[in-house]
Amino acid sequence: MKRYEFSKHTADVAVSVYGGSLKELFTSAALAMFGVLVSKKQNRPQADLVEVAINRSEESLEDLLKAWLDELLFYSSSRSLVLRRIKSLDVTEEAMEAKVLFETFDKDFFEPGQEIKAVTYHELKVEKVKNGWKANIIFDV
Amino acid sequence: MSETWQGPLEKIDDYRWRIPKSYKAGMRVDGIIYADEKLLKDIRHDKAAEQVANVAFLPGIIKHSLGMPDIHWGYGFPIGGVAATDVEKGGVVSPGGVGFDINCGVRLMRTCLMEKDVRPHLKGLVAGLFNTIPAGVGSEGAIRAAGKEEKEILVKGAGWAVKNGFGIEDDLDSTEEQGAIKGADPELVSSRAYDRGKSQSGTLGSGNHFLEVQVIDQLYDVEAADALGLELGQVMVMIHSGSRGLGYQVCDDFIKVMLKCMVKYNINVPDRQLASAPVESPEGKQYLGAMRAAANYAWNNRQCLMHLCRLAFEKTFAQSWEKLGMFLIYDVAHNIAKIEKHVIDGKERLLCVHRKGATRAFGPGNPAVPEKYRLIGQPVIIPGDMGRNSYLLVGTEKAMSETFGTTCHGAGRLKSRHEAKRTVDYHQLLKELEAKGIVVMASGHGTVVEEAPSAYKDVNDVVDVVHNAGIAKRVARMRPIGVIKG
Repeated sequence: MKRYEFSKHTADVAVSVYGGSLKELFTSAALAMFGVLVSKKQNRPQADLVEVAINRSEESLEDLLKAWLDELLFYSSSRSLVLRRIKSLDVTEEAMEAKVLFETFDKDFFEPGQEIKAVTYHELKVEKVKNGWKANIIFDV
Repeated sequence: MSETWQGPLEKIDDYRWRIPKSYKAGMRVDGIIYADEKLLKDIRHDKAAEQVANVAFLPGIIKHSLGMPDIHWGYGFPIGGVAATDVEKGGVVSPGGVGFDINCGVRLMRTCLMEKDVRPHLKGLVAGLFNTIPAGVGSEGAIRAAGKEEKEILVKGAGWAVKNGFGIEDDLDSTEEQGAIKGADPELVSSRAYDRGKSQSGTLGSGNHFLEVQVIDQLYDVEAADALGLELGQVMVMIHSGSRGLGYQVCDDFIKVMLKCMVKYNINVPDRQLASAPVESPEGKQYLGAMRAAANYAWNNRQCLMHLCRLAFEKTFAQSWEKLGMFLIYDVAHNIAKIEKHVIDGKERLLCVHRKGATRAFGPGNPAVPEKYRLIGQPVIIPGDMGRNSYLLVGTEKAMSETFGTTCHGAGRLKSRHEAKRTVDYHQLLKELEAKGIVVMASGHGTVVEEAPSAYKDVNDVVDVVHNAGIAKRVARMRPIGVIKG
């Protein structure tokens, strides 16, 4: 199953993300975000890892997904970190808990992509589809 | 989006098109889009016109919801959208009407160098600029403020840089609001916003942000050109950047605040990204205090970038920047909300003017225009794409009466980034630009491809419209010879 695909938006980056479960959907959204921010140049066997716990609860699934991405973006942009691995992730329709491993951004291993300014509310949507979940997200870049 | 927008666009004259408020229940005023027939076709290809209609829902909106000819689909407001609300009649302020990049803007600096002086050193100069000015994802600033000073920047804006030796007083005289808008409150900026802004002061960013070395290739208005010290063939430097992570976070924080208080103020808008609160409410005042702090961060940022640029020129040409005549012409914001007095139906009213991808264009005689430019009107800087042109214009009296003293801000995107990536080859593009005598350096291939000239409308078409419609007056056209990008 494809994780995410970009769709047309004139100025910003619109992406549809997919997952069989909410956990997979949130993972896909994180991968899409870092797919915009950087692309891998070569494998980096060893890196200093930073572990961050992210726990959020929100009133809607849309807000929960945005909160998750907001957290990832905050660590990435304030500390020059790139997502290495999601160690654990639990998502319900009201709350999420995750442990995320980041590595430091290094130009030898990553090609810089587009800086994401924010995850917007514009056309933000999470919905149940035949094989699980789909979300539409627009990143301001 | 491949389908065409089917809503009504009624012709007012050759350059103005109306979306009547009858189009959608909830619109309080008509929408008006400035465009000619050619640009109108492009405008119909995305959701920008629908967004002009959505902005007309804002409580207190006065006259019209406006779209400039470079308008394109944004989030909430269209990029190229202008809306003014009546402060004394419950008018609202919307963080989405400013955007995440608070005080994204441009500055234009002149030099006394001519193209023939720069051409032999161009590759070295562009490399020098690229190595001096941090750009792109993960870059960190060379100019850092510690602890208490961070808050000082948010109050003093570009004045902080000048105080620390990164510029001169004259730079401030040539900056909108003298580089620091009053009413900024650093205490309203969240710790997350500080964290995101800390390492990014003096960095260019990515996306459409750039620094360009340009050459004047057309002069349109001799009197204004003389007043601005311009001549054909002269080398200029244009810088496009904003408030970096600090501003992005301020906007995001306050959209959340306003989403929560809209029920209390009985505000109904068709898009959550248009969340707003009355200007005079606690939430509205707090947003404006934080937004001004972020705006000042941006003015300081562009001042620091200009300083780094002067250093790179000094190194290449082994002369002081003063000797190289590198003086600032003007710096103007194109993402901002400002409290301004405008004459509406013969009466002076206090308005909150949102300019989201639109440039202030005050006419001659306005006291907000630096004295040295007061006879010609406020300089308006319009960047185009990296392969064609950019413009210097001046504001007009007609802009004061029609658009709250506002005009366009750029070429406006035509193609999505995704489409540009699919259709443009990096090496081919670089070759094409080189054949035109343009040297480009960027931290990522992707950003160059996404910003390819073919992804943009022709800025010449956009400027033709604002000039012919009378909401700004052409003074000079530049073409790029050196480009650095994130």
